[in-house]
Amino acid sequence: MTDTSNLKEPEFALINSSNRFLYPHLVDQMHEDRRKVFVDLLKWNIPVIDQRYEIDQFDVDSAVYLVALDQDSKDHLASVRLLPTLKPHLLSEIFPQLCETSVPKGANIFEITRLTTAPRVRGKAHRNLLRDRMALALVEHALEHGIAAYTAQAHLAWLSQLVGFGWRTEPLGLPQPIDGQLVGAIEIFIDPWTLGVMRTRQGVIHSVLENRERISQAA
Amino acid sequence: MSSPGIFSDVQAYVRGLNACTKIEHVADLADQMTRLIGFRYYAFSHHVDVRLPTVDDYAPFSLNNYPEAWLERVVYLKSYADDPIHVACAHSLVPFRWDKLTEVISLKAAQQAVLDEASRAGLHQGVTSPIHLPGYISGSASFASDRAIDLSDEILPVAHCIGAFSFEALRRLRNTPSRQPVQFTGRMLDVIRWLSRGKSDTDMATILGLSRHTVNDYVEEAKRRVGVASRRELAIHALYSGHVTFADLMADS
Repeated sequence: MTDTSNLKEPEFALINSSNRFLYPHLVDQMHEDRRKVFVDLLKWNIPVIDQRYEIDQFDVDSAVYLVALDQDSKDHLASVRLLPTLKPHLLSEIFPQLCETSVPKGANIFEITRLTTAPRVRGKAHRNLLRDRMALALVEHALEHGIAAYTAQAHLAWLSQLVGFGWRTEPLGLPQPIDGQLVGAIEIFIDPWTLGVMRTRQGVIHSVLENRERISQAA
Repeated sequence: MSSPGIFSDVQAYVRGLNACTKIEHVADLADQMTRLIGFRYYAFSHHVDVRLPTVDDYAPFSLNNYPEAWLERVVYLKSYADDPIHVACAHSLVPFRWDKLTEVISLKAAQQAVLDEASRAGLHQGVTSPIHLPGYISGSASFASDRAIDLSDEILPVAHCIGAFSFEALRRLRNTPSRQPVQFTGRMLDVIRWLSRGKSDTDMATILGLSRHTVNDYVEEAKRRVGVASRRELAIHALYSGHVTFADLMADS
């Protein structure tokens, strides 16, 4: 596993429509980093606002963001967007062809998209660490909020990573070509043993979300 | 093979994997799934380089039903250093067909010879899906047929799906009580590596600074732990359980 002994653990913030006014700088950074990654680097054909921010029709009030930030600088390091599946989301509106049968929808099913690691994060080890801790954060968040499953889509190269975190997953359909690349959709199930398995795999015993309280108290 | 039919087979396979409690069960499922998609052989292999420091809870693995004849050839053929599938995996994030290997890497004569050799041994046509988990492991899932089959590019996402989920199942199960991975000491691993490269006890004694007697003791102990009678079987086991990798075999003497 990644040797994390000399890497700083991130803090986490859970940003929603009620508390986003507490994190204006962080939210701006997140959208700017999303632009840098998805538009500048990956060349996705998605809207950019003010030539700076990547924001689409799903960045609405019902969206929730799990954000990993630097403990000291409070800079955006990584983030993921959670969308309720009972409302319009990517899988239901844009990529239904990725599901062989119906798109999973439920009060306790959320879609995770725009998983971003900020360009300011240097080095494979640090990026791997953030990716790993984000997965743990998603599971802790699910357990806290009664989320039973996540849906996600990914290019093939990333799909095996998504499947390989230690949580139970199932394919929603065979990967399909989208803009010339194969993309697959999966469902991630949160079981009672998921958090324990993933913590063991990453060699951590602490909660990754507990730092959240310190931030909101300080704000 | 209609697409909806294949997906429900893949879905059933993944659900079966998620319910497996033993690696033997994964092998059974994989064998069935491989035939369902029109192939005969499968190999889920882990390409870790054992010379790098490894973490206690992590052991390399390999699961396959490749023909015995090929497994033996790979160990003793000089051209094992030129396994083009292995090389191609390092250059691709997406699955590829063996008959389109030149789109991934430029084939050297020795590598083409390995392909021809594999074909004669029963690995005639195939596909491979590289599996990369940065910070953890790199490996591949391969499917091969021993006869000419009608390969279409549509098999590639299927192969990747099966491979990705199978890898995760194997990682999950690798330390279950029913199948404890064989443990070797560092010194024993050194001996096994050199043995796999054809070195005699005398050579190994010189290389490792041990007495011939000690080298022989290590070999015998390793054979005992694996449960095989010959050095050749020991070398094959070490290669396909991942204790010895192609990288080890490729290293300069």
